[in-house]
Amino acid sequence: MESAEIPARKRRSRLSREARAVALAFGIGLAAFAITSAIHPEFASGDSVRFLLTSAAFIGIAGMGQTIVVLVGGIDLSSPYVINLAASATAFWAAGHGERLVWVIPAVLGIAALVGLLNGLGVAFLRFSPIVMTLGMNSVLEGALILHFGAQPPPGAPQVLQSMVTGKLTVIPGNTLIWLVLTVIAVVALTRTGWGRRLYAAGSNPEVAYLSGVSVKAVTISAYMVSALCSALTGLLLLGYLGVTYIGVGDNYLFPAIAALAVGGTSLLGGKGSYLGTVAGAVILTVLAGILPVAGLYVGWANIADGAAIVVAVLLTSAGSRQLRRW
Amino acid sequence: MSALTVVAQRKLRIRVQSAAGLVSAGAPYVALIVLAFIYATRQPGAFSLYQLNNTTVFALPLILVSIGQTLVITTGGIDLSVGGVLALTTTLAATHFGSGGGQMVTWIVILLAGGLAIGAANGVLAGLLGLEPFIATLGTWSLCDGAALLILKVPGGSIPASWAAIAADAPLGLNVAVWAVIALIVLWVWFKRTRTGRSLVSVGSSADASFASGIALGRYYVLAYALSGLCAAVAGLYLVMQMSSGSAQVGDPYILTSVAAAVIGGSRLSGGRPRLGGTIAAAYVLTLVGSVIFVFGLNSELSTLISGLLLIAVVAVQSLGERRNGKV
Repeated sequence: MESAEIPARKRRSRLSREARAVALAFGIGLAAFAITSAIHPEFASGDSVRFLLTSAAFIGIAGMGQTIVVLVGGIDLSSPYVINLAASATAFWAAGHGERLVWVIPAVLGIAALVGLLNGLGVAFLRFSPIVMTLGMNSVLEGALILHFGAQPPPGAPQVLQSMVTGKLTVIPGNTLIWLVLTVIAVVALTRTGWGRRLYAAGSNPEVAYLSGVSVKAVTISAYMVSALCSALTGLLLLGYLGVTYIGVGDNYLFPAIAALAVGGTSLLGGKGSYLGTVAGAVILTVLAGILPVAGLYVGWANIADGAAIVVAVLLTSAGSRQLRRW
Repeated sequence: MSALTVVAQRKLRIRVQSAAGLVSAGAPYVALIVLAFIYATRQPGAFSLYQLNNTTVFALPLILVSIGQTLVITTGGIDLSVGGVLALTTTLAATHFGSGGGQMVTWIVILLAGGLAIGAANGVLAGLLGLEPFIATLGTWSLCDGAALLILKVPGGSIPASWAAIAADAPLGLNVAVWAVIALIVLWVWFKRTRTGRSLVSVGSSADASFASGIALGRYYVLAYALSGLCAAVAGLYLVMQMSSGSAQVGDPYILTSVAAAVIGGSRLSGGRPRLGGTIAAAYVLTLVGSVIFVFGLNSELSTLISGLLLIAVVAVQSLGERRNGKV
């Protein structure tokens, strides 16, 4: 990857802009948390914080796959029904038996990897627009899921899965611990490995990356596969957390995940951004959603707060990198 | 290689490219005709005026939203806020039209202006301030959905009978929805030829070239989003005629379906190739899929699956001849 080396000065400025966006996003999230806690002390209680972390983890893990695909210049709109498929397939195939998870989880992850592979092949080789490919895939998965599993309500999640996700091994909920581990893996993979550098290179300029010896197609396909795996994991954890699943369980994890990465300073054009930014974005969105019930406001306000947060936060975190246009 | 073979090869390439262009432009119409014939095997009178009226009544909201979406896609953007504008329009109409008359007319004007204004706000964020269209309109979608939820927590409200009755009007045997589609086509044929229309198209086809020639101006982006907002508001006003009530949840299914309609219609997501006729045909296709599934007595969920496959298949056909030469 020597050929894709960036001059030291330029690299520092790029890093510092990203770091600024991440720091700003974390700052906004923590400030919102601190102000609300000062007015409503119960917001800072252990249970409340555990609930916020649990909610943020789902957006964060779904957002991990989304961030990786966006970094390579794509987007994954098939995430809702990969999440749903993973939850439903696990519930039906395990049918409440914990020991069956030994083969059910690998099978579900395998199916997800296959979905990601198809997305990646469509985008890389057939040159489908990522929006079209993954949107079509989502409809196909939705139809297939309901045709195959829709006839009767799914059985509950195996007890093992439930206690793994909700069980308090420590004071931190299980799914938050998993998120923490995944975050470390993602940050290291994106910033310290050749794969990560190839991902950024392919996302920021595919032609240059190709001429520098990066297999843009392979990197693109790998990104869609990782994304589908993250979605499947989100589905497994949601099943464990809720204890049951239903048609549409994944619907709330597409746009919040994309909003989280945008708030965290990742550009939808590809090649620019970081996973820590997405983590910060997930924290902001979760804290905002958590504030409103505490303040006694109806659910409509949550959407309004989300919308305002997305626009304002992205205007702030992208201040230096946006191109203004004349009237 | 002699000069002659080079010329012959180039001629062949041009012919192949124009054939591919024909395939790309024709795909939604072929899909519509095939689907109509499949429908006709089970449904007597599938090609009757009655059936045209009936199908158009169901298709019109999607046609309207998809036309707005096509204009935004022409600039290389995307408009997720159409769902929010649609929902907000139906909730406000269902709660403020009262018993009709002057109050209703006032609110119709307010709602149309509101759709235009929300769209223009998207245009300012995405066109002038340089936010990514996906993110800017995701934000305004959420804002509008929230406002709609505050107005109507659960679907409800009511519409004066005088407004609901318009949906059933059929001057000269054609339902108002069919007249609306004809009017939209005429408007588009006119608009496409105006200086503003041509500038809007060229803004998307190559931002750099139009910037150099001085037309990549923010105002054309603002215009495209504003018209999309207006289309969504009109769709909302039409939907309340059918539902006789408002709902904060009614808009969201239209968002990605309208993108699918624009793409199946032959518009390029990267901008600059508006195919409004294709969009309308595609919106009919996506509506007819449900009817075909119904007359064949199949599980209605098949229509989601078939729509997804159709999207991928049509785009695959369209992209056949359009591969660029790059290896990346």
